[in-house]
Amino acid sequence: MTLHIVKVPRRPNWPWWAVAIVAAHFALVAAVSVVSSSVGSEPDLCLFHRLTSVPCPSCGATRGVKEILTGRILAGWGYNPLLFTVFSVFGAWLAVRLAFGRSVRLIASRNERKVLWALACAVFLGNWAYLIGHLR
Amino acid sequence: MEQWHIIVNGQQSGPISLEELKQRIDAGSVTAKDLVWRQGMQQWQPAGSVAELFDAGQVPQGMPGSYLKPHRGGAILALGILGLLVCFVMGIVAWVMGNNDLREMTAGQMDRSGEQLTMAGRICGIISTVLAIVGCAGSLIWFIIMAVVGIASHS
Repeated sequence: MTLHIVKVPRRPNWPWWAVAIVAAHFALVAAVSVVSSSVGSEPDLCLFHRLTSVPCPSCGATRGVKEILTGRILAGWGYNPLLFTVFSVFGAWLAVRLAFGRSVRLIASRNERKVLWALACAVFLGNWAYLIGHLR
Repeated sequence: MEQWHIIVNGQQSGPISLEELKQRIDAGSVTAKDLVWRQGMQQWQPAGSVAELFDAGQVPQGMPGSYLKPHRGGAILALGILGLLVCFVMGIVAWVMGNNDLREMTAGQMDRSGEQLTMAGRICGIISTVLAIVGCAGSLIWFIIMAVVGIASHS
């Protein structure tokens, strides 16, 4: 298994409508969060949590961002370690791509891919277990 | 003059001219399955799929020498399901990846054995995105109605 730095077009080939929907969603969550904070009540934005009382694998993101924006980076990261790690790696990848037109290409055999998938599932479930223990 | 970049056995090299690339193809050091890219291409492509480098008759589909990208059906289905259960953003990623991969499968550039998985993941992604949009729109309307009712009751 090897990682290669390859040349790619600087601008990712993402459809504008998908970017617009995701941006609108985050803007709406931010607006609701700001308004509710000023009123003094914190609504539960997660449907999964409201239905099951169990935090979903992405729970803690809004609270984490609030902590990070106030300078408490480690505390914010602790709300959902996997999510913030993925966001950081994604942000770094996007910045490098936009600035230098470079990306990373993983070349792995079928068996190596299976191992990577198993590792990803284990990390995902481990992070979820951590959230259930900490955010419930 | 067009400058080409190539990936052979995982090693990237270039830029090289079209003539030099054709010489390498003739010499067999670059095959139809190796990836090539030049300015203006959206992404790396197998050399065999680039008409300037290989004639269509030289690389018959499905024959040794032609290259099919491995499908990502499993990943797309996983993202689609996570979009439904966890966060619709993963669903929208599944939708976009599904669209791109189905297009490549139709064009004969990707392994078609994952078509059903890709289709299922794409549909899950579409459903999760539509549900999220409907939910957000409903919440927004409810928020506006409550604000209007609140203002009316105060005045």
